[in-house]
Amino acid sequence: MSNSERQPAAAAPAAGAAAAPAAAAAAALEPDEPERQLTMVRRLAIVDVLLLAVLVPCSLANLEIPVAIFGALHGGLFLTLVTVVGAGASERLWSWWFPVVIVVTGGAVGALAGERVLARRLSAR
Amino acid sequence: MTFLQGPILVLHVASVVVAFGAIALHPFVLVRVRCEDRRALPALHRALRRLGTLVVTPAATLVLLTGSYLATVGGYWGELWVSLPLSVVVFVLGLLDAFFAPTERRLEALATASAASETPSEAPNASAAWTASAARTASAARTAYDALAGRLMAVSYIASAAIVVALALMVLKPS
Repeated sequence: MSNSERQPAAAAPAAGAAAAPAAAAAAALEPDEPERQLTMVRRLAIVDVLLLAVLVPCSLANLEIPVAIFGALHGGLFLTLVTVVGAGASERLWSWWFPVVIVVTGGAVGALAGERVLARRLSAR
Repeated sequence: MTFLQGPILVLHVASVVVAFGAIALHPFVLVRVRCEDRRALPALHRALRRLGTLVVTPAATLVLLTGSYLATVGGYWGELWVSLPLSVVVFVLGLLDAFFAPTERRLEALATASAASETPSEAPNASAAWTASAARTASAARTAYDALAGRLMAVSYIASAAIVVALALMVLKPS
């Protein structure tokens, strides 16, 4: 992750200013945490992709009960992804664009794309 | 109601109480221990992590399995009051694995680092530089711990709110 990804305290809004020392302390004590959390996001996103691979054909074939089941499972995973990535953004592991992309794209696609972008930045660091 | 439905319904409700009751109580326990004895925090997080692995996750999985059985036998799939709570159970199970377990592990490490650095050295010739460095580490660990614990509690509240919505739907069964 680039240094610009971890937002400096000076750029933080007033409400987030108090979080900056905590983010700096956490970054110093747990340097591998962004990689670990990105791995977790990738795992969740892959499971969500697999669910979508079942859900979309069921939906196209108008199978009501499988759609209800796999739709609910996909919904639960979507909420998990948004919460986990939102918690990472509040910790300043990445910016808020990541959870926003996940919400806009409906889950797995945005999560995988965002994870790729952030992983590339981390490996370039 | 078939022969099995009654016992499985009881098992379903008991699993809900065990799994989701523990999540709802989580912030309360954390706040009390932080106020009363911070040295107990590493042990608390170790215990909470084991509670999550050995009790909450199996109980939430049991909620999912027994709920699926009851929905199949009763022909309730497709009802809003079944689909939304199913999403909530998956949400909570996902959080247990992807958020609560790793966060408890991190909190345990930070609390241990903070407690170890705060403990006065027993070595008679511990230098002033070492003491200052230990104090800085303790301060950084404590700051990071407090921020992460606040985040854990916020997510616990979100999970608890989702659970309350799911419970309301299961009880009221809106069509």
